[in-house]
Amino acid sequence: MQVLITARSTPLASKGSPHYPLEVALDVCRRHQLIEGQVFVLGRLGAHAEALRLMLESSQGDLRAALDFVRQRPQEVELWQVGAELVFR
Amino acid sequence: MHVIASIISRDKVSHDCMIACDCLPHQVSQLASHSWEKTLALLLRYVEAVPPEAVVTQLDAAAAMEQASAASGAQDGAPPSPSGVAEGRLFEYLHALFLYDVHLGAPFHGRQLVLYARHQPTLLLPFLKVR
Repeated sequence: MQVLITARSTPLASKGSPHYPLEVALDVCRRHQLIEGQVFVLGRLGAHAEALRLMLESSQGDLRAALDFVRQRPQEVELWQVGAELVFR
Repeated sequence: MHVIASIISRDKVSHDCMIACDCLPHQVSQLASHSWEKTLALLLRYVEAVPPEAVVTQLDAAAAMEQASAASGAQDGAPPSPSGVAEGRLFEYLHALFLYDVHLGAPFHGRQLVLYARHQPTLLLPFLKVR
């Protein structure tokens, strides 16, 4: 059978974000232990302290990423406090 | 079935598009049993004619049948299809649809998360972060 079927070669301009419930995303990332995913979703949910805790406490944690995360939110002074407590306890 | 075979063997857009519009929304599984790769290409090519809802409904039904036949063993004499094939196809379809157009599969993005985690976890984070 001579067949040549390909997907449309020039996709439509595909811009925009996926529409997923953040709670579902968080749940999926938790169940599959995807720390980076959890951190991202927690950030979107505004749960910055929890995201920071995850970055510093988990075995996949990343101090440099945690520092960047806090630096990107200079208005949230309490994040430094949370981070310092986790690192120096 | 000869109509489907003609869709697969020819590639003349105007006439085949009409056939595709007639058949594809209802016969994804039959088409896929010939070649999933080509079916996927057709589904994307005629995406305006084949609503993602129809594709997902059919792949879900196929997945349910796989589970049922896996649960009952091969007692009915039919060769059991390997479990998880239809779910894998659903994953591939939704992923391809997403790459083609972010919005077309929007009602299924929640399910897509679960499918990424199960089938290709490395794609989950990029999917979450698309903006």
